[in-house]
Amino acid sequence: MAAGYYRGSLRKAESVHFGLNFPAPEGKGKKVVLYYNEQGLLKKLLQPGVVEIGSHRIKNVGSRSYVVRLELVNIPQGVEVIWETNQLAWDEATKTLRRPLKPRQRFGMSWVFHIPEELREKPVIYDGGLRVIDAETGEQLAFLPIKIVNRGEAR
Amino acid sequence: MYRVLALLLGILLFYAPFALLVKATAQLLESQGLIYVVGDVHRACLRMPINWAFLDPGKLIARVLMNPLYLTVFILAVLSFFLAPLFCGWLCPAGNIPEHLNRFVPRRLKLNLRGKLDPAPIRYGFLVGFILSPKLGGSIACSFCNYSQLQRVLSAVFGDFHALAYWSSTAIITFALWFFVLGVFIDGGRGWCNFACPAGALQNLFHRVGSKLPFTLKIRFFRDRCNDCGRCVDACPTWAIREARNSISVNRFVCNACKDCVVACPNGALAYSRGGEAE
Repeated sequence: MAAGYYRGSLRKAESVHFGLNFPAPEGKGKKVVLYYNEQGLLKKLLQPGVVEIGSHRIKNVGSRSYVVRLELVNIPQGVEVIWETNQLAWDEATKTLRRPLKPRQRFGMSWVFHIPEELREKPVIYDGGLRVIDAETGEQLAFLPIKIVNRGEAR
Repeated sequence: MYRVLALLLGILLFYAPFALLVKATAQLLESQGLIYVVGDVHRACLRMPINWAFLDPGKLIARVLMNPLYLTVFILAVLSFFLAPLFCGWLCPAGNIPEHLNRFVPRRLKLNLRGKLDPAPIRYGFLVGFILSPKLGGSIACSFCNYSQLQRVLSAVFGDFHALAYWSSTAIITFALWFFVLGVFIDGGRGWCNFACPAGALQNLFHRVGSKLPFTLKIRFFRDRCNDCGRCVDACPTWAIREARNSISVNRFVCNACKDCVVACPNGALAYSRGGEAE
């Protein structure tokens, strides 16, 4: 139980996971906020500059298949983001899922943010988001705002 | 020697970059248009399905329909009923790697709780806590997963250094406890298995029941051949064997049928075979 509570206390500090449905109307839905300065002691001591945001469920809730491209917008200069997925069909160069995602199918993706020291004290470290795009038409299918902030600045 | 070969087989079957069992299943499913994922140990997760089975059976069914490998932990439990937890003792890399490395650590550096602590109550207390944790605090299936930590290390060993790019506090704690404190630096090297592995606990629960039946395979004790030398007690990595008066007892709640006791006994007083628990 204690382990569960400990994990729960770090839920929004070191690694945030979300679910995202598409197509979704713009401006509707949740946002993801990671509170950078609420990391656990071990994390602060051993690997403070690396946080993860990810999803096991980026899901096609539409009625047709989509070839999906993802885009992380507004990455600050100096921040390196590593994209990680378990999808065989993922094209890292174009950030596109090569095979069409059928209705009700989903996939997962994680982004590991390497934040340089000079940005770690800023009130807002990252203010951007994830854009889900129909790779065939260029149409935006969903947008999820994502923020990495220090406590008290996430509004 | 055979256990080391079995350990390598376990890596080949479950862990990336090999993950042969996982990849074979993924290929099969891909041909049916279900999933198309990179194969690693997560596809045959032995932890989350236990939570789902007890707290949300509908979710378990839905997930199994997408990925039948989520049934692995239950198949292993049923096999343990008939064969004892051979997976734990022989195939599981997460349990076997610390145990084998533990043999190279000087005895004076190891925490020795053998004979001082019965692991079973802690093990099953943990199992109950593990099952209830999503309802009472937060799930610990993923955040405290030792299989996941081993996968990251193996991925890095085979060239995927990104696997080690991100460490959460819980991952650091899990790695330190599983590999060091309850692994290579505890007598027997199976501390994590004994105390904090829900998959192992589930298998031993089935083994405990199965061992009562004469047609199941298990570690058996032959009193008339025993000379009380105690070698089996020292050889058991899970502290399952205890000396009793002119006898020994095998704790079925933790025995993983590694057969180290069988090998250690000079008189053949222990055997892995069918029949009663002791004769």
